[in-house]
Amino acid sequence: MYRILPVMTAILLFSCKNIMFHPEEVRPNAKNLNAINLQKLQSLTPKASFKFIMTGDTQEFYDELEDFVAHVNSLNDISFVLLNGDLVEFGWNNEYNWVADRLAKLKVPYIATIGNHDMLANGREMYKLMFGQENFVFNYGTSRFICLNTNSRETAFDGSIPDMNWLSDQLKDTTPQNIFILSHVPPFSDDFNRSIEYNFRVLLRSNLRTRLSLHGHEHKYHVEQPYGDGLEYLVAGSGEQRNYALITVDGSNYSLEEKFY
Amino acid sequence: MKRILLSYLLISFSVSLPAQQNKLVKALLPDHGTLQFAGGIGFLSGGIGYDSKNKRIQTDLLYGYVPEKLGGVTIHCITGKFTWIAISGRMNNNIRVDWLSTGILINYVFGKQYFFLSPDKYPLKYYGVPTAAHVGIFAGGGLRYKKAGIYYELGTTDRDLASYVGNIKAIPFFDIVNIGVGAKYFF
Repeated sequence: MYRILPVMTAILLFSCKNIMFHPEEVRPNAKNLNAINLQKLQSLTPKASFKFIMTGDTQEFYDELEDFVAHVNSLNDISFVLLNGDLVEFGWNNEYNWVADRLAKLKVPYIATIGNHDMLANGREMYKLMFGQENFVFNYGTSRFICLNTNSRETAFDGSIPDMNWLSDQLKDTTPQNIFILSHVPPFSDDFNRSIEYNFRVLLRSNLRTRLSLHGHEHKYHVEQPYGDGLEYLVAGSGEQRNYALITVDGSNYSLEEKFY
Repeated sequence: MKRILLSYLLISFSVSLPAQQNKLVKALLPDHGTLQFAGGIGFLSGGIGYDSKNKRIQTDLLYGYVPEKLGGVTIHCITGKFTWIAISGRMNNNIRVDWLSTGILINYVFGKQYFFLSPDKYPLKYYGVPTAAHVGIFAGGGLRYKKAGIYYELGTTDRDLASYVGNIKAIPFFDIVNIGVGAKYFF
């Protein structure tokens, strides 16, 4: 019997990491990641011609995510990485922490938007603590990135997602040379609030500086002009496909490439 | 006087109960009470359970609670648990060591942000699994002294296991293990 007591004591003491009160608890091992990474990004001197990566749907693909991080770290001309959401599968604590642990190894700044899976259970709370606001903007040089939640189905198409008033306010500013939109669900998806699809795409086009709309969700790389209004929509990158979009911006021109790792 | 009256009432009540009914009441009374720390079913969870005659099989119905301060959000949940004491040995009249126990549990968490059946807003089979429930498996051991016992468990959940199996390279096995410790009192 005296053999079991030290074992039990050891088990109790060996790691607080292995104390899980409940899978749905919200105990992020990193906080305000978007703010921290944006600070990192702003401290760099922006290049007139720059490259960035957009990928996402990393949900449950940790092996792939580690390979992705190693791959991006081996490239030396990337300014930053954008993640278009669905970082996790069920919105729960362990997944978020596993993803954050791996993303932390990226040498370049990374910014993440929220996907529909990230909103499950207490996911919204977790995203808020770990990454920050669901709708936010940032600048890189003369380019502006408008990042927002477009996962309308998660709130049963109640009109709250996407926040059209907020988006409209952001698009009033015509000072940036380029505007890029980043969100998870593209407006031509059944998971987008179809009753405002028309207003949404007209709104994006209302500012002629809007160059490109970046999305995920569909786990299939494709570039198209679904509305024939001159605005391109890029859907790219998911864990299991080991792909991402490489976007090169030069002045007010951009070029797109699908890359694999 | 009061005490006499009470004893009289108690005696007459138990005498008036048919023997069969008495047996039923006895069978319905739980065999033990449990209090557990962590293990994925609450910061603290407590409840009652029934045992097989030799106490090698123990069941529990536990209510679990996580305060917001510790879990980020307040969590209320219930757990059904089945434990099998696989290897057990008696040290002396009073002390019994459960060298190896193992079991399975199912946990249900209350709250409108979770779903068990897919809500109307989703098409059929939109999300594969319910967020309101998880299944856990565990192995551990314990020690019993007279009517009291303590135990520990190393467990994992269905979701952790799925993440691990799909990512053998990236997720260390240790990352999916959670610890629970608890105490039981056998009536």
